[in-house]
Amino acid sequence: MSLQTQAVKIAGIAHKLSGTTVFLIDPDGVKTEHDDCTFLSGRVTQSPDSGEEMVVFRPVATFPRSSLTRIPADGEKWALLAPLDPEIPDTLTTLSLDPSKAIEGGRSLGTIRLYLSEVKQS
Amino acid sequence: MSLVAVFAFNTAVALMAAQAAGRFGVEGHQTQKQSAQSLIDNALVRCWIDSADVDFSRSARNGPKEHELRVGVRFQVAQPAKADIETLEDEASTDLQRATALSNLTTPTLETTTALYAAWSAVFEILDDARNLTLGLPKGSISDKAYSQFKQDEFPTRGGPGILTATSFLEFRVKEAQLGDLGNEPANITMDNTLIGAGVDEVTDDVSKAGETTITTT
Repeated sequence: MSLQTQAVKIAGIAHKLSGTTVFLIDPDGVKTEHDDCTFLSGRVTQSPDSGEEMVVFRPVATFPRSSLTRIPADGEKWALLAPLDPEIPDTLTTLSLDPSKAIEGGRSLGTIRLYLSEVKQS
Repeated sequence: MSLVAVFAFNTAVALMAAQAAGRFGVEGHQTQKQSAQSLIDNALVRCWIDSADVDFSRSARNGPKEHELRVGVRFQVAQPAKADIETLEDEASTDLQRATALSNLTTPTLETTTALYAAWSAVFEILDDARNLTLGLPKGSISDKAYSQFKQDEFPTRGGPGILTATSFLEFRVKEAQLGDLGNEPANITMDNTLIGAGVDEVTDDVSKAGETTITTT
């Protein structure tokens, strides 16, 4: 089994464990439902140039590239509706793909990883 | 604590907290870890005494002492992107409405930069206000007050919300009043009666008896 096949299989197992349904909205406003996405949210720490460490919320969604109607491009504005609280799966929170960050990851494994951030009402 | 420098620092922190009017939070100490999520609701200004120098050329051994105080004023700001969430989450929204809402999506970096400059502006207005020339202390307590050296840090590369930190400094000079340390108890003073004059044998000043002076006469 090649490394790529193994990685896709692991991603599939992770998806079955998470079982999260999310909605992706592309820049044209088209909303698509995805239950093949591995959605994880966690916290990371980092130190700014000086001073103390910052604990930062970082949700990440990994999609099989084949499940997307189009692949997000750098600088595009996408939104993702996902249940952040597992106790209330029906309540979706809007997250955004930060257009100031370059898209990265997943290219060689048949998946694409989207780094998301919370959105406040304007 | 008898240091006027510390008292003046606490007064400056209290002054900022009192006049912040909800624009930012103020804390008079540093921390080890800070949650970026807690900064989204309100910017945080952390203050600490960065240094306190004594200018020996002006401070005589027995004369008035002055501390040149340098107070660190650190801004911590985090903001997510902003968009019309109601439209994006509304099941009844059309593709066009959602596309319009997405086109107006801002970036966390823009929102955070705006929030940082707003907090800096508010702190500057407070600390450089003519009515706060002495930071609320009595006239003549402090001098040469200056708020300066705003230096913005880089955006971190990871994490959801934009995070920005910046450091500035409030400098002023404060006169110290040395009261005498309670832990440093001097020895009893014994005076030679030949120097005191006729009729007085000895004068003892016992500090342990709350300054009670005993004069033994012949």
